[in-house]
Amino acid sequence: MIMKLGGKAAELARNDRSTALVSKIAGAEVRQNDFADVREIAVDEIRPDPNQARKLQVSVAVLQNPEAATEPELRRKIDAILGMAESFKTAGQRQPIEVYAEGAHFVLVAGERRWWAAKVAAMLTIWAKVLPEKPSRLRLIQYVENAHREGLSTKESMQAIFEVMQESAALGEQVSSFTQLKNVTGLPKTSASRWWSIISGPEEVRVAIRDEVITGLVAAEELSKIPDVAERAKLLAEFAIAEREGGAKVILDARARRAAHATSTKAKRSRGRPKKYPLAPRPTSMLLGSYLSGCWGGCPATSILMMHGFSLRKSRKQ
Amino acid sequence: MTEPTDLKVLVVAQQKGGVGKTTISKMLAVFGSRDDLVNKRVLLIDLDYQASLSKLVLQMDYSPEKGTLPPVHPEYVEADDPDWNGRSSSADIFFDGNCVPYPVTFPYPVERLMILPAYKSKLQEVEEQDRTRLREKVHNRLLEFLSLEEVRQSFDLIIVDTGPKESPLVRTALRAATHLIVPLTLETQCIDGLVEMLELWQMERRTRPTTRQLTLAGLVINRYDARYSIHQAYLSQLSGDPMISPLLASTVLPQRASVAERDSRAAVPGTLFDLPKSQDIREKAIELCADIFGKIFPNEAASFKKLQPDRKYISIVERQLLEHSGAAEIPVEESKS
Repeated sequence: MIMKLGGKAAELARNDRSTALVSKIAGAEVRQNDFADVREIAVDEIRPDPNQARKLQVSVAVLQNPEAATEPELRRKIDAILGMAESFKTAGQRQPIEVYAEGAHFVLVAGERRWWAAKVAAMLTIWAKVLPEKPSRLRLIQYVENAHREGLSTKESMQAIFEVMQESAALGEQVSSFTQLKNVTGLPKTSASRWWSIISGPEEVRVAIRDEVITGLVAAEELSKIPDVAERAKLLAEFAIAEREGGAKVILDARARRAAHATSTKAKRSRGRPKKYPLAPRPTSMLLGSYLSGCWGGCPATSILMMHGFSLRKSRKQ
Repeated sequence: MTEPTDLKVLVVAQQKGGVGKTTISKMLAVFGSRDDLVNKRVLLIDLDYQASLSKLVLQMDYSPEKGTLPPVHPEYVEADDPDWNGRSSSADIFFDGNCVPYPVTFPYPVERLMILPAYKSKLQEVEEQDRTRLREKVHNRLLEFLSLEEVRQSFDLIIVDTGPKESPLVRTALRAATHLIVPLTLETQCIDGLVEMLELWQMERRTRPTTRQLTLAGLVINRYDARYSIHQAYLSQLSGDPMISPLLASTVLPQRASVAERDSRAAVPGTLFDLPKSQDIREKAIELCADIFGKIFPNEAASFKKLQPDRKYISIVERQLLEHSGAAEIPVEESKS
């Protein structure tokens, strides 16, 4: 209960905003920092997450004999890990990995490549953020981590996004629109829009991505947008041939894009700034313009101004 | 690095000076260590280079170049320890880490109470590091020191007294703390200081893992004078606020001359607990200490509430007075009650 007090001093105290500030700070919610527990743990006690969307497909044997790897993608991954191991030897580990405790060992949340690099560098311990339990949004953390560090392939991305959506749905947050997808995954607007076209589009495009017939996100999006089934099937078949024979995909990507544009409606294609917009160079002319355009049934303000003897450039100068 | 789990670290901090940090630290240390009271093994650490707490409980030395410095340790034997000059201070935590706590002398020796006193010039040196070195060598250093097995085995409670202003030493103390006390007086500047202190507390809390929390054991209102309407107004504002009132210590310490007198080594009796029962500050001090210790050791909170000091601790000055007057017994007023 706040006492009623008189006097000048009481008035001073009442007008003092410090107590309000104290109250605000005292009541501020403190997000406990689950990640603050960074410590060194044994490399041998860590297990990779078997359900992680990105498959590194490396092993100790492969890393010990990098020359044996012929596939360019795998070779690139191996080289990156070996390079990181070298940097660990010279500069040490700069970024801790992230794990959660499960039974007697730790399961990787993020940092699988760093973990392999630590093994190559023969490190016994590794710096890790140790989470007290399995995070509820594990798939999202992994997806964000992978999307921002080592690029995921389109196939891996699709799988990861579906898993993030499932995880989100399990937590009571259904993803049923482009905006929700963007919010849940944190994807930039353009990518989210592309993925939403694929997710909500025809099944065969998703199958093609899964089978790695289509490897480009843009091409997949454009294919999903082609409303004509026959046209889509034809292009998909061409993609499949290109996949088998290797190459010529770039041309196909462009063709898919053209096809999508040709078959989509005209209204959908119109992009950029709307043609009709009120002109507002100066308050008076804006008033005049908006007033007149109202009277003249939505005629562009520019034309009205010109009818009245103003030119656009002139009014801006003034 | 293992972190102290059983060892409690209580930090007394407030950026505004003169609010009673040192007085409250000493009061809590005596209450916590006396065998008729809480009876824990307590180590005081003075991180204020003004060394006001150290001067209160030890006979400190002074040199014109180095300012106040700790005396030669009573157990120091030069022949046994040729590498050590016999002085030890809280600043050693930040240097070689070889610290030898001193038994407290004033107002009376308490068996389970030790202090690491301040060493003015060395503590200043600790603060005058560049940012990188501060982060690496200072901010976590006290926590590391208090995590040492030897320290954890030797004490149950560490009480850290800090200096005014937001200094790296306050940060290092907060980093190591398990509990925090913020004394305040009901004046505008002090409530301003409280804003920043609480910001610091929240900031520290945000960096903590869930397993190692920092508890605010209380905002202790000190030197309350009911005759001042501004005190009344602030008190009603603070205790009427739903966010602040849970943080306030249950007892408000009133403004009393006997508190200031206890800051003199010649004071008789030596602590507030030894005052006659007729003085209300005695009861308030006991209540406040029991409340705070209850928050630090929640399992024993109920037993702390029943504690009553007996009058067997007699300050050195008082003993001399008694011996001089030839009286064999303790003062008359206490035995009457």
